[in-house]
Amino acid sequence: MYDVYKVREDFPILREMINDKPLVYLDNAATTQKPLTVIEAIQHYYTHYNANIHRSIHSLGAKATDAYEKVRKDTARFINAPDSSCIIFTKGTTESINLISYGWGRRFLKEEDEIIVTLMEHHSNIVPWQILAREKKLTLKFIPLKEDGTLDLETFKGLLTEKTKLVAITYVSNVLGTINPIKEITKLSHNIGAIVLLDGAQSVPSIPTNVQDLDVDFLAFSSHKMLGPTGVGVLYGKRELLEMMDPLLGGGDMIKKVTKESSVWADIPYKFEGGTPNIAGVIGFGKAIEYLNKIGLKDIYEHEKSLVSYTLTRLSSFERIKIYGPIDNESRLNIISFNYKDVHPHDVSTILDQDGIAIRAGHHCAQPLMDYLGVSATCRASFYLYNTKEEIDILIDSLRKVDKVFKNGDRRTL
Amino acid sequence: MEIEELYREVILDHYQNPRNYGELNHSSSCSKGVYPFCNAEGENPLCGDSISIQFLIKGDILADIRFRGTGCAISLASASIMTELVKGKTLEEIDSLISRVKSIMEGEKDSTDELGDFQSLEGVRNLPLRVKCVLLAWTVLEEGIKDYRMEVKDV
Repeated sequence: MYDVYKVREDFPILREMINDKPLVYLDNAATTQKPLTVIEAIQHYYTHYNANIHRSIHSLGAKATDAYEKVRKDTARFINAPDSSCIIFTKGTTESINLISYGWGRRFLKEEDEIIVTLMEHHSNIVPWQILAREKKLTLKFIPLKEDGTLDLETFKGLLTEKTKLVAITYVSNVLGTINPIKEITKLSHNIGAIVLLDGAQSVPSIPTNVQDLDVDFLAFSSHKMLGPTGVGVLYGKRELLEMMDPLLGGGDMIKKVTKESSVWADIPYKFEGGTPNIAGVIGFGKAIEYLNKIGLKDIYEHEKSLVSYTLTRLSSFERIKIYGPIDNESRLNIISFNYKDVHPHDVSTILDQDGIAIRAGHHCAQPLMDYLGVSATCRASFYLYNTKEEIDILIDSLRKVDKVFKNGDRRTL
Repeated sequence: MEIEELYREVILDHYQNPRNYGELNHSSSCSKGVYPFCNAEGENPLCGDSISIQFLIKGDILADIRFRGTGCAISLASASIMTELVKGKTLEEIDSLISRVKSIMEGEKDSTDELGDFQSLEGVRNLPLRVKCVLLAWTVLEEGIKDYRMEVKDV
C-alpha cells in the first residue's frame, strides 16, 4: 500500500512555511523537490571524497570515478538501455537535445531534409531545430493537435515523406499532460527511414521507460525533474548513432590523443563529456534513481493518476474555470493546465501564493501551443509522489478566493 | 499582506473596465488637420504579456492616448491608470511622472500623493516579481516618446 505520508517525511522542504502557511508544492513539472538522501549524498561527496574523475591515480580520484560511473550504470538500468556507454551526462534536457542537433544534425542533414516536431513541444525541442533549419535550409514541420489535446496522427502520417530525417517529439506535454503514443510514432517514422528523438523530461520521472521496447533512437531527460539536483541531464542514444556523431564540446576528458595539429576523440560516452562534469550532481542523481526504484515508478504513476482524477473532478465544479487537454484520464499524466475566465494566471498564482500554494503561471516555454490554444498563458498544477488529496483540497479552497477577489466580474474591453 | 490589500477595488475597476482602451482613429482625434500617431509596443518575456499604446502629440502635449494588451490585472490596471494620468500633460511632465513611478516601484522612498488611482498600486512594491507588471505600460510609453523625439529631430 502506497503511503504518501511516509514518503513526505523524506522531503525536508515539505515542512517549510510559505506566507505563514504550510507549503503546498504543485509545480513539479518545473522542478521537483529533493529527498534527504540526495541532499546528503552531495554533502557526503564534498565532505569525504571530492576529487576530479578519470584523471587521478590517487585513491580519492578512484573513489569519485567509481561513484560517478556507477550512476551511469544505474541510469542505463533505469531506462533499460542495452549498455551504459550509451548514457551521456549533460547539464539538462536542453543540452541533450542541442547535442543531437549539433553533433548529428549539423553533420548529417542537408538542404531540403525535413524535421517533424509537434505543436506541443517545449521550446527546447523547437528552437534547436529552428537554428539548424536556418543554417542548413531544412524544413521544420509541426504535427497538429486534435480538439482534446492529443496528437493528430492522421495528419502526421501525411507529413512523413522520404525527406523526413528526424521526428523529435515529447512523450508527455508539459502543458496539457497529454501522453503521446510513442511506439506507434516510432514505428511509422522508422518505416520511412527517419530517426526518433524522444523528449522524456516529463515522462521519465513517472512512466517506467524501456528504450529498447520503445525503440527510440535518442532519449533526453533531466535529473532535477525526478528528485535529483539541477545541472544534470541525460542523453541516451543508440550506439551506432552516438559513434558517428561529432562532439559538442572540445576539451579535456573527451580525447584519446592531442597533437599540435589534431586530436582523436575518445570513445563513447566520454567523447561527449568534455570538461570536468557535475560530479556531485551526478552522484546526487544516482541517489534520486535509487529512491525512485525503492518507491517504485508503478506506484508513483498510480498515485499521480488518482490525484489528477480527483483534481479534475473538483475543478469541474467551477463555472469560470476552463481546463485544457485530455478529459479522459488515460491520455493524461500528472499535469493540469487551466484558466479562470477573465482573470490572468499571474493573478491566480499570486492569490494562491498567499495560501502557500506554488503553481506555475505563464506560457511554460511552449508559446506555439499557447497560440494554438488562443491564450498568452495558463495556470498549471503538476503533481508528484509526495502530493496529497488534502493539498488539492487546499488548492480548491484557495481557488474559491479568486472568485471572491475578482467578484466574478467580466472584463469589458469593447 | 492580505490579498484584498493588493487587489483593491480601484485596481479591479481599472482592470475590468479599462479606460482609454482600443485604438485611436483619425476622424475623431484630428478634426483639424492630420497629426501623426505614435505607436509603441512592448512585452514581458517572462510571461509573454504584451501592451501596445497609441498616442497623439499636439505641440508638446500628449493630446490623446489608447492602449491594448493582454496581461494580468496589475499590468492592465497600471496601463489604464497611466493613460488617465498622462493625457493632456506636456512631454516634460510625463518624463518626470515616469521616472517618479519607476523610483516608487523600485523601492526608493517616495510618496504616491497626487498620483490619483496609481496610489492603489503602491502595495505591489512588496511583491518583487510583480513590479515588472506595473512598469510594463510605463516603459512602453517611455520608449514611444523617445522614438517620437528622434523622429521629430530627424525632420
